[in-house]
Amino acid sequence: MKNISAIKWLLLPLVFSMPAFAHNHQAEPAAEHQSDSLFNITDTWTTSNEKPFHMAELKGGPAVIAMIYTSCKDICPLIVEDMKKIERLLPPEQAEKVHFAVFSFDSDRDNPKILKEYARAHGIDSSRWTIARNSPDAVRRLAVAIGMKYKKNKTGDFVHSELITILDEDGVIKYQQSDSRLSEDDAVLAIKHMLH
Amino acid sequence: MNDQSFQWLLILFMAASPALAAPVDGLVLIQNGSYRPLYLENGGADNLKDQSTYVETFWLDRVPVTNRQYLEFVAKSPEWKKSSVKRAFADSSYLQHWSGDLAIQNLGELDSPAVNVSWFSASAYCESLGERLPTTDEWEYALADNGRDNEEVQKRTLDWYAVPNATPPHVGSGSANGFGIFDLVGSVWEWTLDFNSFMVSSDIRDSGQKSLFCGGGSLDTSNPKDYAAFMRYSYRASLQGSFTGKNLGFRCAKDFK
Repeated sequence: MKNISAIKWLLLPLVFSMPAFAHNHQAEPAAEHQSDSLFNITDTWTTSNEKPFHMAELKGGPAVIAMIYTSCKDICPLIVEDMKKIERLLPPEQAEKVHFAVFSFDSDRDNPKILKEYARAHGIDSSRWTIARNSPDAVRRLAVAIGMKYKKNKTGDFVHSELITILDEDGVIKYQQSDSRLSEDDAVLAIKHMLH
Repeated sequence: MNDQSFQWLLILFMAASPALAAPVDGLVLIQNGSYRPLYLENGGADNLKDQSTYVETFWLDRVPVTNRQYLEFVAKSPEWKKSSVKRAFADSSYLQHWSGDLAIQNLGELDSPAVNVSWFSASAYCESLGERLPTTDEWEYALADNGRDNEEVQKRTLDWYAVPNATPPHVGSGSANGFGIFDLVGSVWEWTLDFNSFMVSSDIRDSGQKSLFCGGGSLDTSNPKDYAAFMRYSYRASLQGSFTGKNLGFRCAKDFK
């Protein structure tokens, strides 16, 4: 065993000296995203319409994203209301270029059906909105990537920070609003700036 | 053969050499139990008896992951080479103590903890072995060690925290705790799976910002005198997933099933 692994190590430098060959084998190379882009996260989410969703689908226009859980009664509806306010404050021709995405961190309870009801109840079921769920691991990855803090407590509810994040067309974080008392006007300005 | 490829060969030989491998790596089974965390779920109704956190039986690395082990991982996972890692997943200091993608500056550090790694890269390392990072509760439970040598551990921790940026020793060079775990204090800070847990100090809780809470829970400190634990929680709270640091490493864990 030891000898075999020693030989493997000897061969490694040879393998690494031929990176071009490895690339040529791929029929369809994965899309290259900007190094600091959230589109580098490749987890597959499931939307309220039971469709797969990837972060990279937010490419092309600014995106307003947040993480919530639907049985949350206090802060989460306010976060969604803030997102809706951003949508309202934008001129219609600009609003239609913006994607609004809400990600649940309640992997246990928030299934697509519940997300769909939530979207309907909060009037966020238009095509420019996405609401999606994923496994605890994928939820953690996105939360860490955007700097969202949360903890599940013994009752199954969550304590969490409130955070609205705005990505540019390449998936890079351009603006974050971490307190509902902050003005949505700043978020709107950030989006308008990106669309110029 | 140029100098750099010679250096690679040397390192790869060393990585394969059984004589030099750390004798103490591998997972240790940590029996289930409870500990009293610094921050508690209070919620108003809890009595003292409930102020402990139960931790399921789990596996935990005896020692932190070493540069040698991390080097093997990077050799198999080119996306984690320092020249190709995505900035979304690791900042520009990632593996800054390595002289190349597969070479470490100081060969004496091969058996020292792998540092300058981000949460994303540490997670990827553990996942490559079918493992994961330990949760903060698991890590703190392992350190709490069922109360064994409690004051002594706290003192050693504070002594260590007081020494800025000492070079980490080889893994396993201290003594094992009651669980058989090494280096939880005195070596490097360590990433936890849920370092981004939402923690609130009593200061914030008392400031009237009730609206911060969803689900009616609130958090409180159990032992304000436990400054060592306070420092750990504060340190974790200050981290971002892409951060790296020359005194920040990790070890892996696994569910027991």
